[in-house]
Amino acid sequence: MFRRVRLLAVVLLCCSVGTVAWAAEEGCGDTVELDRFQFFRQLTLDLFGRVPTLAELEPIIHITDVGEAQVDAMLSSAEFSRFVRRYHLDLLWPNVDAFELVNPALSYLLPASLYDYSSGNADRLFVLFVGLYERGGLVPCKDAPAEYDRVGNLIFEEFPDGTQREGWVEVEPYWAPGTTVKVCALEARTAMISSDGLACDRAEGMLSGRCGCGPNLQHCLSIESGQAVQQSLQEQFLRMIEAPINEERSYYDMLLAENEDLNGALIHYYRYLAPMAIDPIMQYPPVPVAELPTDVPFTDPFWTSYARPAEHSGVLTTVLYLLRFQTDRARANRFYNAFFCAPFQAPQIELPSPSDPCSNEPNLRKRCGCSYCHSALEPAAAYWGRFADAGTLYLHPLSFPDYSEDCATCINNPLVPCKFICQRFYFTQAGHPDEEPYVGFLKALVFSDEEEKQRVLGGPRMMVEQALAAGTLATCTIRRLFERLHNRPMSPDEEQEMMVDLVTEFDASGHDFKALVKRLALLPSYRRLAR
Amino acid sequence: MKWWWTSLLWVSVLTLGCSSGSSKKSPDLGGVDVPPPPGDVIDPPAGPPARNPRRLTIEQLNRSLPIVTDGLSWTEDFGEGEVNLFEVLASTLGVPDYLLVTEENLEPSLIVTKFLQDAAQRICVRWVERDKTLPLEQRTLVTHVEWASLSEVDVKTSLRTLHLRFFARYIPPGEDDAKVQAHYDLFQAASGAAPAGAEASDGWTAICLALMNEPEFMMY
Repeated sequence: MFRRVRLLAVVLLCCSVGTVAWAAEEGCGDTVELDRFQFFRQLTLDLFGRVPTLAELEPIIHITDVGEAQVDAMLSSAEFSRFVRRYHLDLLWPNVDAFELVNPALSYLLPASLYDYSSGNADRLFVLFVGLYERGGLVPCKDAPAEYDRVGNLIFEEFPDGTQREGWVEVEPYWAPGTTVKVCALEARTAMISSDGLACDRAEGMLSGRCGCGPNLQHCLSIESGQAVQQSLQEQFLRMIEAPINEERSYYDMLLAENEDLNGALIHYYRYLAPMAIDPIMQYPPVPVAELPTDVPFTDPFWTSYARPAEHSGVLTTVLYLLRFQTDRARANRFYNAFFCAPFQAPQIELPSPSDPCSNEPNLRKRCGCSYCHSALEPAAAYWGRFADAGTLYLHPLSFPDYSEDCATCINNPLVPCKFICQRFYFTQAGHPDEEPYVGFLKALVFSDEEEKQRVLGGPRMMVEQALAAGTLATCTIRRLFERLHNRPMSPDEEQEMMVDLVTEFDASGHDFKALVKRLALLPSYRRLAR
Repeated sequence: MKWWWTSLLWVSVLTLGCSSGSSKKSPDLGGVDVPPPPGDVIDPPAGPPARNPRRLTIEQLNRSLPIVTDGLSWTEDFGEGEVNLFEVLASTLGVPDYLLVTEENLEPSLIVTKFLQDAAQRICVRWVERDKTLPLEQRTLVTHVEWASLSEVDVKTSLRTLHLRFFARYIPPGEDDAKVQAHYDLFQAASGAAPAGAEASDGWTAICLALMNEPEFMMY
């Protein structure tokens, strides 16, 4: 042990001294031109996400330089996918917590160990609401096989804490065919209608606590299946980005794609699990359930393309994007940052007091202190105005008209509360005289002008098409990619010198992403390193 | 012993900071080099426009270590099979999950330096032990004929290949190079302090540790 410690101390001292000498020799603040080996290493790290192998480096000894041919070879390699994926993960943050996928209290199968540390077998699975309504507490079943009486009813045991608990049964779960898991017997029930007449394949049934998870636990999510769905949603998102890049179509097709790819996990999720959200936000997956096959198992890894309705627009209306960014403002904010290089950022000034009369202005576009961002953010958010907050439901104009008489008047009837749909999607009560004209309108239309109303109707697709027509996407794409490869923003001088040419070339290439990467990777500045 | 370790670690981190080219003097910290706060304007380097250096991401590091060591990763077995510690420690090391962490901090931080040293200690011992049992054509660490040789010519031959492998630095055969010389000096220091029979093993372990902790490996 002491020998290893001494050895490491020698190494660290020598390295540190060597590093100081190295830094002094090169000189901090200088720039150095990379030789062909260093340039190849930089390209490999950036485009493949790893250092080059010795086998890749050795041929470079025999050539005079690394340039276009090597960059072309890398861009043609399947490994370039590493760059595409990581770049867009960093750009769009596509991930979602498993608890966003279903209502965790209704249909999330938790291991007993989460709530009952004293139990012997911690792995038996239970659902919180079943415990609450059937056992009398947020508790799992007891750690013993389930027992039934002569007529087939479950036998419960009274526990000192006042709860009653049945045993577990073994079930073959949909996420691991050919294996079994221990599941509390109540959760393993397969009836499709509850004892009080509610459909067990809907959130209402599970909310009653009187339903089980169905055959093979199909309408409950486990930690394993939740991870699989999470990963599949991210994979779906990245496939949508990669497809136009690999097929040498316009990079921006990923913002306009009508289809989406589904594997077994996502087909199962759309069919059985999306309805387990407590509100109608998830009941209409992008691909209608009626069009999904019924014979694809959850574990099927193959991806098939399915058409989505016309309101959909590439990654911007995927389940993942809509759940990751839960409000129309958040959705617009990420997109404007990533693709317009236009963050909503207030200037460094003092905000007015909340008691200042101008702070009572209900329209955020005008309210002092808020207007700096919201005068631009509200019109931007309007594009997502017909996609439910905290959900994926599209508020189709036929089902959700701009104005609802019911929702406009419901607040005046103290005996009958406003319907859920009104509370969720419509503006039902004015808190300020300026808001009164908007009572009964969709929330997205409050304070909107004619242009915003068009945006609400046109959706994200309209935004992308307008931006493409105006040529406003290319400049930001070039800036972002330049920054990624150079590890710094483009300087004003560089913008002035290169941007027009780069945009012209990118447009002329039909927005070929690989061609743009190549162009930037062959810039002389990319081959120089600042120390 | 503790202050000794801490001092060495700091020296390493601070020199890494210099090589990033993005550090400034902070009078509040008594002149200690620290990265500028976000949004601070960084003086552009002298000379023509260039790319700023960056630290390898944890993903790049995790993928690169098996390449330079011919298949060895930073793995441990805690009784339930081998696990990759870069994956286990991903959140500690700042790998973004795009929910709570959306950007990987690529400053050469103390914690990444510390864990890379841990990784190097685990990998290097395995690499040396494996390499010395292999025939010449299968070796990736010592690429001269006599594994236990301490001769300057032999050691420098292998060091040249290792520089290509780790840093993509090509040094033609027979050419002198200051950095290879520095590593040869390290080899000598480590093998000279080793017990009898372990000279070459200790020398190459020291080289492996040094190469993995070099800023030239971690930065690009």
